[in-house]
Amino acid sequence: MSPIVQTLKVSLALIIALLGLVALYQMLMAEVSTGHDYTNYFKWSLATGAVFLASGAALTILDKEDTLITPFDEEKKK
Amino acid sequence: MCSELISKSYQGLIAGFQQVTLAIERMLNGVFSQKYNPFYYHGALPNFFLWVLFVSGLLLFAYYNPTLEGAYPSIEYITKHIPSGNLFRALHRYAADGMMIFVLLHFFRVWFTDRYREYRILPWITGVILISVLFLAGLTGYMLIWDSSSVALTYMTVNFLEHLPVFGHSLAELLMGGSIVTDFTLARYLFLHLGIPSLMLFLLWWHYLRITRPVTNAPFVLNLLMFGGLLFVCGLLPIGMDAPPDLAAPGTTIEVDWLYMLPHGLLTNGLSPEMAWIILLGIPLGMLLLPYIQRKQYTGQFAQVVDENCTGCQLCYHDCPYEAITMVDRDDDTKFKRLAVVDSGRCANCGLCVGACAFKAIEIPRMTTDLVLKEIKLVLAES
Repeated sequence: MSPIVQTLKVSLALIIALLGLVALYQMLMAEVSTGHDYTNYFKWSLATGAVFLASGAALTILDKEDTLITPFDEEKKK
Repeated sequence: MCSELISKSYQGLIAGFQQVTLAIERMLNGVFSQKYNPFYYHGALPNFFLWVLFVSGLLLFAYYNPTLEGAYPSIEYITKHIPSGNLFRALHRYAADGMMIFVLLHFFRVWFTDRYREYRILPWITGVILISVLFLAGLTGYMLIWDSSSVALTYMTVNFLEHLPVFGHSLAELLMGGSIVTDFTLARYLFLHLGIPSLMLFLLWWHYLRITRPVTNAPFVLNLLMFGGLLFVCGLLPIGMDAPPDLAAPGTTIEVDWLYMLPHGLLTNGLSPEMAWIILLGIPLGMLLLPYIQRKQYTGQFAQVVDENCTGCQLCYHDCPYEAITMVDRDDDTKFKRLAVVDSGRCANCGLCVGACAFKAIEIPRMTTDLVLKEIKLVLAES
């Protein structure tokens, strides 16, 4: 795995973990705050979606290492 | 003569669709590479969407109130006062669409590439039932919102059900939990909406039962792309709510979602309820019967056991990925106690059992051990 792909994957894991924590915090807060209108989620949903799509596209282009290689193919490669 | 002509036209049509399917796959290989081509994971991607549906559905279920008075306000509360509540609603809605789209892609691909007959009948039959189940789960999902559109959809569905001879009225009462809309109606919708996906899990297990090494999870990158796409669509096309329900003056028009409202769409376009029923029942019934109507490709060409050579060692029995071989007790004069028996309906004609057998006791008629050895010798001599 190339360093770029590895960095991308680690960054993504961090973003997903952060999103999970934020979601958990928001759920806990939901029980104590009732006055706020939470309908406006569009912008951050669009932004997060775009980040995931871009990362997915980057990984598709960069991470073409074939993991489905058979022992026979490996032998041939050597 | 006529049936032959129909059969030939059908084969030609399917061959054409197959060419188109494979051309799209090749094109997508250029974009995604073979490793991440979504067309190679159309069977696995619906599982990803199913996970999204379960997680988002759990949150919605926690706050949903299935009563006539409480349903609409509870959805409103989720939408406006639960952080990301409306996003979860949108995720739930679009994940269902994503699942249905990939399930249909999977279905057509399997159909057009002729992978539904003989030993693949079980996945095909369960697959057709799964699509019907998904269809019903989606429809009840729309009804649960219980806004003015849901009420119109309820009455339209009940009217449609009433047109089915014999069972129609009972089905309508079963759906509503009585002869009129009451609190039981929403409890019934919720039961159907949650009970059906539970049934889906059992059907999925059955669907995979006869598939050798089924691919149930798509690669991480594809799941990421799908989730990114979902979030993007949720932001781009946010979902809202219609006006509160008015049972005294229910609406008569609905916005048809063709993925889950095929009969409603047909009725809206002027088709009679009887004709809509024929189409609604005819499509799944035709699909269920399709593998039986189509002639077998390798009639009588399944693996065959040479009884006198079989030692009952069970090697073929353990190696067969299709569970087409069973071991039975033998009562002939040989010293061996067990005999391998091939179930022709399950045999995929793959030849693995031939390779497993050390006693030339199992053969594929079109490819006997002697024929294979002859061919190997020929190739070796040439090289």
